[in-house]
Amino acid sequence: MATTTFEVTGSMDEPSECSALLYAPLAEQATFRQSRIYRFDFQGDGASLKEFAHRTLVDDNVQQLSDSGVPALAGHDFLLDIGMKPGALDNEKEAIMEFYRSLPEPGFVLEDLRISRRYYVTGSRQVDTFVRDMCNPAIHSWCIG
Amino acid sequence: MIFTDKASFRRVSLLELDGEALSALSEEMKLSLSEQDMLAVQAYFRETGREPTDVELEVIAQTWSEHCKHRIFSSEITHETAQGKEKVDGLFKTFIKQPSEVIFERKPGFVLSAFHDNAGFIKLDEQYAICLKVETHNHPSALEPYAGANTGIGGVVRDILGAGRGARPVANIDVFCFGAPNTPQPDIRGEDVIHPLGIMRGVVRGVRDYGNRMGIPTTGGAIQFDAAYIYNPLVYCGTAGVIRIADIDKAMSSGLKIVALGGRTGKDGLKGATFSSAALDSDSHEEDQTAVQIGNPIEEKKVADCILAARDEGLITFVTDCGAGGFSSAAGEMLSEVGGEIFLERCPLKEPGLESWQVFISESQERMVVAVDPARVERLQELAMIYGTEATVIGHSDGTGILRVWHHGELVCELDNNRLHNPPRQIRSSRWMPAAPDSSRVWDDEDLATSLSRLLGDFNICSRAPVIREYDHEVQGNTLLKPLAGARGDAPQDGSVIGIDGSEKAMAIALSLLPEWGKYDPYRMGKACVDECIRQLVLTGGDPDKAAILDNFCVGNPDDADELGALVETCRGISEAALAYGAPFVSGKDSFYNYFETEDGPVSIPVTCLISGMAVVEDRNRVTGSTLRRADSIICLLGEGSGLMGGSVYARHCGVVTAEVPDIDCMAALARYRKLALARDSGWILSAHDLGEGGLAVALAEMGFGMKAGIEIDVDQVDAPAMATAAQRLFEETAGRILLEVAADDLENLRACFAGHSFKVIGKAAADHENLVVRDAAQSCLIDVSLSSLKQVWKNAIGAYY
Repeated sequence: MATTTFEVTGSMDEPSECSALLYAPLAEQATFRQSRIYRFDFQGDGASLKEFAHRTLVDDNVQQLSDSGVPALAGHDFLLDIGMKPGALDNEKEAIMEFYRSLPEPGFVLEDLRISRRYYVTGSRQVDTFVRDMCNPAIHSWCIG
Repeated sequence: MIFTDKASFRRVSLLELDGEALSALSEEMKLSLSEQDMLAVQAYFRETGREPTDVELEVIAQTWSEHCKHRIFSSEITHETAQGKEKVDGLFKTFIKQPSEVIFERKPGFVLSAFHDNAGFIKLDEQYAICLKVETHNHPSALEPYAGANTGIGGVVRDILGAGRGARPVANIDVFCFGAPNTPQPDIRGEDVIHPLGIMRGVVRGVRDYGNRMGIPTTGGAIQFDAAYIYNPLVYCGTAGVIRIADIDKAMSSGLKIVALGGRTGKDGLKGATFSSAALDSDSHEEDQTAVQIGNPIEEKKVADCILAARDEGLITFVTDCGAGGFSSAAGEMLSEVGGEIFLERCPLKEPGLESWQVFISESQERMVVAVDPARVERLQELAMIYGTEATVIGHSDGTGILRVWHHGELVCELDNNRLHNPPRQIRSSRWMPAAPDSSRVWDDEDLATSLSRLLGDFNICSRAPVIREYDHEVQGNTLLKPLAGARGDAPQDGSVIGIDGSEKAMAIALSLLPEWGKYDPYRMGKACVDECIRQLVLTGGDPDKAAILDNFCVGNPDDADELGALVETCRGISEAALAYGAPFVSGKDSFYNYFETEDGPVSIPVTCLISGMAVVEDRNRVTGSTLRRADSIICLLGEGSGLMGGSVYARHCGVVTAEVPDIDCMAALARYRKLALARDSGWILSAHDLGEGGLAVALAEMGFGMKAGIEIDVDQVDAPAMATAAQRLFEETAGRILLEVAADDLENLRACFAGHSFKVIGKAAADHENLVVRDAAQSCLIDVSLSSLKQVWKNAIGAYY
């Protein structure tokens, strides 16, 4: 079984104020950008998987797909990936899996899919504050990079 | 499709255990059953001569939970007040059901269904009935605000779909109680407690995403802020529905197929009913994660469309929703008298590996259970396919009176429904012994304009526009009165009005909660809540004699005699008021154990009673808004003040907690409201606004926020005790009062209409400025401030945080 990770970024997105993510203002001026990470565990043809991911996840007019394995955006102080814990219902994952199951010959076998939101934070290193305000241990798992 | 491949259950040895060991077993299995309950369970299984299965214990725990059985409302309470002790033979029976039955007899044919279905119905016209249901989803929202509120709305929408043989959801309402959004982080004294701003953002977005995506307008609501709600936010979710009268009655019989309709079953939401009946602590966020359900509104939309289509084809004999307790509760409700068999191996699953009890009590969302004539199952399954959902036969009714649950040939649950639905009755004590109020304070205020501005910026008064704008108010195209209106579309209204397709009539919806009052006088709070709800229904266009109400209580620790005492007093207040107004209760719900063990000790919420209501609007052309319409109109005040400041926002700003809370004469108020309805239907009322939090001054400002004109009043024309100061006249919150905007030509008609009632001309709209001007009889100017500056304060208070 292989694992491939895709990152979807908005090509027209601009940095936003971190106050939208936090419950109290930061002392410093900080901004963030956001992307989505899709980790596919699969068997079979990787090219078919990539074609599937592109077709399913990307609007070419406003989004870009990266499978380089490194963060798609640069210049940040830290990044925070937040996904659903195993067992917590992820509606986007369910919709993608359902679409996959409807394909007669996808060319690959999709074993699992994990989705997370990635936040690129610039202008702050207060990682604990972001984790406290954005991650809920009841349903989320997260990692910091 | 995924199914279980084998039965997975165990026998639990309890026949020989003593009380202490039974309690330990309850705790170990997280059953939330008391020792008394466990002894009753033990006695039942001793009679049957066998040990129970874990499935049976889980079913009993769900069925007997506070969430499902409302056992505190059924308990016998010895209530102590300064007047002595009295026995209350069940809060529900004494204060909710009995007064309502008196009103049912007074108004035959008005209430078509109450207390036994998912929601109560009142008659709209000869063809249609309307219903309203409000639920709470407090504990799930405390743990995960988005998902908790999301599934709160999803659940109450399913309640409406399961009312009668399937009512159509036409509007949502949402009421929240939060800590202040600017609460300093160090003030939050519990690990993993989500900041009130995070709770608010998550809850609002959860409601938004479910209601908007299902295509149901969110037309009304309220938000209260108090530090006591930091640890226990309250999330009330309501849905209104409409149904043909012929589709209300439903009855189970032997020989029907039991069909699961909608989403599949998973491990999400296990033990939600028992979880919601217990207190929270810092460990809840880790330990109770399986109790957090996550909603899928698109799935529910498909189920809703399928249910309504099936109803219209006459396929549904009985329907109910899968809520707390999952299949165990739905099948238990359906088969409670007739009995029947459920086969768990037939239930489609989201994931493999579920144990027998998990399949039966999972609270996975978006599922309904339908009883169908065997000859019509195939057509129901065709419809399910058309609407992109699933219909699976999981059992049948058989007339035995016994619920039997099978799993791959093993009998995993066999319970006598009569015993299952009769848990031991609780015996409780309550007490209400408040300190006597202090009436000695002189309410002087040297700067009334600044005080008014502060009130308008108070979180409990300021504009909710940033929240309201998240919701779609108009999808379905029937919202006649929206939550924000006026010339600029941003002035607050007192309720909402929904047009009903196929009827000339409409439905008014309103609500009231006054938890600040309840801290000092819960009895008067109860009366005032009923009054405010009825008043708003009439203001917006409803018939005062065709209104019905719902009671939704949230309470801290009912094991504390004083907290339970506040609840008893509240119930007494709403009961008396409901009888006086002739407005029966048709539905309600309660939520207990809204207290939290912080690092500094337990924090309980104040007793919080939401009264929501619906009324028939006979003429949709008479729907009345709350915003000033003309620059040459007269401003009148209907109803008299008391000068009492207890419970008011102004008193809180002054740091006063000892003031007397105002009372209301409900019979006199109803007489006024009947006259008001007459005046409204005669076309004499341009706009009308209730006096609520912040009193007269805030109501005047809100009325002017449409910015059509300035407002000038003489505060000494306000009907209040002679000794009342200007501050009392402007900021007291005595119930039963209404501001009216009338044309000069209609004034004499109104004087005649309100003869014998407190009706005063207090001022006028002013075309030559846009200020709020308050003078006294000596023409001294007490307030002269631009409405636009007040509006900025009012509009920006929450917006700075949300």
